[in-house]
Amino acid sequence: MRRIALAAAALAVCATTAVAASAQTAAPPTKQAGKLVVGFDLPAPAFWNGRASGNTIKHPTGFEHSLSLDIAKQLGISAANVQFLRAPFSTILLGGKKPYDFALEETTITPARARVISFSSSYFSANQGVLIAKGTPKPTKISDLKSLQTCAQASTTGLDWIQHKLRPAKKPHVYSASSTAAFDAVQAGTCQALILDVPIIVSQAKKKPGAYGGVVAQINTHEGYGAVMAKNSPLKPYVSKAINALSKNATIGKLIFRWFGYYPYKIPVLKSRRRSGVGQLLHTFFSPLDFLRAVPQVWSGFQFNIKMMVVAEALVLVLALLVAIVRGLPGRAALPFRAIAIVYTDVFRGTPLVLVLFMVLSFSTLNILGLSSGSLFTDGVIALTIVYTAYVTEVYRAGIESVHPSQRMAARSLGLNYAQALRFVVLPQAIRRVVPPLLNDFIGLQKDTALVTIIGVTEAVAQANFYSTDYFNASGLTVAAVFFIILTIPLARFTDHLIKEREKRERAQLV
Amino acid sequence: MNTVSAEANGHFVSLQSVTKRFDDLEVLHGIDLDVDLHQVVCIIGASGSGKSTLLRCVNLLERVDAGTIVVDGQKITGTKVDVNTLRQKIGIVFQSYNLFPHMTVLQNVTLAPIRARKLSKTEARARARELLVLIGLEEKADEYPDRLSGGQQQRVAIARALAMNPTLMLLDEITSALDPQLIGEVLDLVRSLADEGMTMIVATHEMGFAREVADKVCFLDAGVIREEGPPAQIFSSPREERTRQFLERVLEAGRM
Ligand SMILES: Nc1ncnc2c1ncn2[C@@H]1O[C@H](COP(=O)(O)OP(=O)(O)OP(=O)(O)O)[C@@H](O)[C@H]1O
Ligand SMILES: [Mg+2]
Repeated sequence: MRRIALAAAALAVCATTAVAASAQTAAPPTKQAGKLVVGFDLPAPAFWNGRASGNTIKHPTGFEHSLSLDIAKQLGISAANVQFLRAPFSTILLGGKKPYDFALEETTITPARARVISFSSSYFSANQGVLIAKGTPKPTKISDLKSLQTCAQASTTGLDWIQHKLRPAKKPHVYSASSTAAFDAVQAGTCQALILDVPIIVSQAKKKPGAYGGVVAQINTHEGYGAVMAKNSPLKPYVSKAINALSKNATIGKLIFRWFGYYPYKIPVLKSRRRSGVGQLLHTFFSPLDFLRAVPQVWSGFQFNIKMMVVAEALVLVLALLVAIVRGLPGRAALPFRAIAIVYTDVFRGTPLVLVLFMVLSFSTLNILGLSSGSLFTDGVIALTIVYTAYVTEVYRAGIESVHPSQRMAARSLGLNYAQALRFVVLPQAIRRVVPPLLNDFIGLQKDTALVTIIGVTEAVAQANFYSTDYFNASGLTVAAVFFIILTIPLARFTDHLIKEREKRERAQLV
Repeated sequence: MNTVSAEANGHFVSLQSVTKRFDDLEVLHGIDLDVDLHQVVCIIGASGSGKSTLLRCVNLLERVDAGTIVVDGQKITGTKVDVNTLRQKIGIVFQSYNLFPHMTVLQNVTLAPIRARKLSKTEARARARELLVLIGLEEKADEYPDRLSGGQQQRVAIARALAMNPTLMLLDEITSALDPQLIGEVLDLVRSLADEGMTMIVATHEMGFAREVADKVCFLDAGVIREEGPPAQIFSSPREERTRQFLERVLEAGRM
């Protein structure tokens, strides 16, 4: 036992030293070795101060300017080799190549954005500060805020937080235009607690000492600013490592104090009541806010499911009937056709739909035989149709076989030919009988439209999943489930109803 | 025309040495049977003797293995026979009615005239209504078969066959599945067909009926026609021992 532990420890040491060694020797993969290009945008007071000149900046100072030099130092690049390149904020969230190594532009890290670009770890938390009026009791936990008269500036994170997360007893006062009105309200005492970005509140409180009850708390939004890089940039681990180091050795804290006048750790973070296990579960899957917010997004995807379902079901109804008829053709001449039909149903009843989806996709993308559907949606419909035609063929076949041979014989004895006997006598009876099992297969098909998500059709499940990762809440998945259930229940009930009717009729015939 | 007539020896229906085999089981062993125009021939015999098989061969629902069948001057056992056209001339009615349960009475009767004979719907319906009057079920035209009694269903089945204006009717134990009180109404119908001169081959267990309607009775025994003759002779003084035994058994069962 001891020996194994020692060996493991030795291995671990070797591994870490090896990594450290390689990190030290290799120069960071910047666009130009030994140089660093940092993206910025103006105006961004206190983050970037200076004068814009062409696409660079004259006499730059500010929090992000200082930070970029510190990161450069961590990367082993001297301040003289750091260039600044103006990159309008509107462009940095787009995918594709970037003309800079990284950009520092107060960019909030979100999963949706991270699908297109890469973020370093956070260097600045976008927390909300609480400024209280004089005489207002100091809140120590989030629920203390609930009974206060809150206020916020229109369309800010702070207002969003009050309305959706805090949900106080009294409606918050909302001030549009500028933050001045909100600050005045706190000073006058008509607003007891203002929620706004920490740096803004701190600088205002410093400007007017004695006017307010103080910046007493901050609320953790779990959001932070990150350096923006091109998607999958090789530089990302280096920048993140540098930022983590700067944060650990308090460099970033000092920079914040220098440019914003406070130490983030000195403002107490308000905690919410911890949710119990059940509460956590309910919140994750059944949060009413997230539910409402996810509905339009999931619905936009669900329309694809409905379209796929309708088209595939129409095709399956017709094709499966054809295959079933071919399987039942009599005579030696029809043998090859029967064989093809049998092989088809056997193969596709046995192949997982997921596999067929990927096969159709490959077929389509490789443009084999010039057959490319040109759309993922069509590929999905094709795969669903191929697989479900095989299932439904068997359903039809069972129905055809359940019609007593004497029916076909009676039709033939009247002089109807094979096709007429099939069309007017056998099929109408067969189809009537197979409606319930057929609808059951269609319920399966409706649900399996969700599988098409794996070849990249942004249908309901994909949208639900996007929502979950964007908002860290699984209620979007619940919404998708509800949509599918709502679609299925009527069909399931109708099927049950048909089966009951049939039983009643059969019992009546026995009597 | 001459050669054809020679084959049939002037009979409307003529079976010569007809043999039928199901796999290893030979069911008919060289059947010879002649039926003249407007004649009613009854086939009697024990269960499994091959009555149904014989009728089905005449309708080409079964292919014979050897021998020839001539109907109305046409050799139907050859290779180049259009079975669909032939069957339009030969009506067959089964023991189990086999009405189409998803169609009304009227639709049952008009299906084949419209689809196979290509009559217009109006024509077919007019003819169907005449037939429904004939069978006494004109008011049931729009009912579905499962709302009819067995006797009514069987009468509809007969009307359905008649709707094709057949020249020959094959009736295969059409009263066997019926309750005794319903048998009469079906037999009355057959009797009126006979009176109108319809040529019929009737497989039956109703000996009283056979005696009354048949011009000729054939006793089928284990795939051969053991004895044939006018009903009076067969039922009163059968020549063959096997025939006598069969008739005794029928008598015991109370069917005469
Ligand atoms: N399709 C078939 N395949 C194999 N054997 C058959 C088939 N049809 C009939 N048979 C056999 O042929 C023999 C004659 O049958 P058939 O139905 O002609 O008798 P039947 O005289 O009509 O009897 P029943 O009075 O019971 O109707 C029976 O032994 C039967 O089992
Ligand atoms: Mg029979």
